[in-house]
Amino acid sequence: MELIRRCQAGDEQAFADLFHQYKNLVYKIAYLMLDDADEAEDVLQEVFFQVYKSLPTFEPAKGAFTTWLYRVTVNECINRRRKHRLLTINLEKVSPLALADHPSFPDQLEDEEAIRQALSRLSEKLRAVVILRYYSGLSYAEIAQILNIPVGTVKSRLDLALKTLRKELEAAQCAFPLKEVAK
Amino acid sequence: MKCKEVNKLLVAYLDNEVTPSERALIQAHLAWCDTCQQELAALSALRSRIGQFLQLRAAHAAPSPQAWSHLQARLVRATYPTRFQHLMRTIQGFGQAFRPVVRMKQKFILAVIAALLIVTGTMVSTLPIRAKVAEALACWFQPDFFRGRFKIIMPSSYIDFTPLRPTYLPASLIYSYEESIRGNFRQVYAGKTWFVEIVQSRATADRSLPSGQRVSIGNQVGVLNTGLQGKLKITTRFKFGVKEYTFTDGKLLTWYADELKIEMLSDLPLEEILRIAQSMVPGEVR
Repeated sequence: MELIRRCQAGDEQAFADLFHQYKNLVYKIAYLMLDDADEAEDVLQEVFFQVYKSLPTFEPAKGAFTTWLYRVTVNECINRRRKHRLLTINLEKVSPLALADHPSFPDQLEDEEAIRQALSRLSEKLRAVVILRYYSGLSYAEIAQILNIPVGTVKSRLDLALKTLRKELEAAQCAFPLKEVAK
Repeated sequence: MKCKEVNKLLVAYLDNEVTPSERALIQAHLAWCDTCQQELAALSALRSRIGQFLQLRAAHAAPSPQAWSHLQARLVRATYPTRFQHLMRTIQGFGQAFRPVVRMKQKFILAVIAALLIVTGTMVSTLPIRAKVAEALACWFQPDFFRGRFKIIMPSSYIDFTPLRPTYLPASLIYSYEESIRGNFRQVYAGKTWFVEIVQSRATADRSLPSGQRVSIGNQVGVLNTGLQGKLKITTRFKFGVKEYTFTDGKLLTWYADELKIEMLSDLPLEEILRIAQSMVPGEVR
């Protein structure tokens, strides 16, 4: 809070500190949302540029700074995904040759790629709730506040997202989660 | 609670986001329902696997070391804009400032335009005013009978004198044509077998006349040349199409009338030519 107050007072060093304190949070969320390092870098720049411009009018009483930061980040990512409709590479279409060249390709890595693909095929809204919940560990109420939607919507989006992911992974014959179920 | 209802709450149950009563109902259902137990186990495994995947993937992701310097540069550009950016912002600022005024006055301007259109329409529809408007328009739009359309008179083709027009022409007149070119005023009148071409220009100071037979045109002295040969080609979409007059006894009458030098070429008999010449009186350009 003190850092925010100093930023609002025009302390440039405070803004630098704020950037370094939150840059990883913003970058990682953007990276997971967009699945692209360059895009995530752009989002980081854009988010903090917006923060810099909007900080003078930011009112801590209306909500936590991190909630606001998450909101700006997620919105920027959603807008970018909608604008660019980032191309997602289908592993099944691209990788057979690569996999054939590496017979010892570990199952674990195949699963990783399958999960990445399944996540990238989720809509922006579903992807956002999955990341905020299972990466950031935010509560449904916090996610609802960030996305400005009712808690019930968060609940239904997460339910839909997990079930969609499960279908995708089963279709991709992913070793997981069936392995776990077998236990 | 039925399986379908439980199924919808399983993710929230795993996330500890159900109410205590929902939790109790779900647990009671799970105690005897193998299908929902399996579903719960699968979702639980998936949930933790997704979490692991995201954590692992994010662990390797980090912004570039130049991120701060890039942002700093952008902030400096935004804080201290270039002259061009400053100009653009000023223009945008003006646009923003005047937008409410423009919006406010938009209806008023539209009302004024509508009123002007009504007043103009009413005025033009009354005969005397319509005549005036037609007269004014005639300064710019000249009927081009020759080509069957209106033409716009360019300032370069303006003549700075009032031309003369014949008040007499043979009754077999079929068409007439007038044009202004480079300070000259040219008229062509023609019937099926005859033509008269008159060219008028501002008189030069010496008022010289060509050699030839002297003739009297009213109180003026003119010069007549006869036995001229040649062709006059007229192209029109009306009546004739292309009409070519070949003359072997053409007559050229040249004389001055006040400030004007007039040359009249025709294949008509001399009496007719003189009669036309004597009938010429000043008339505004139509």
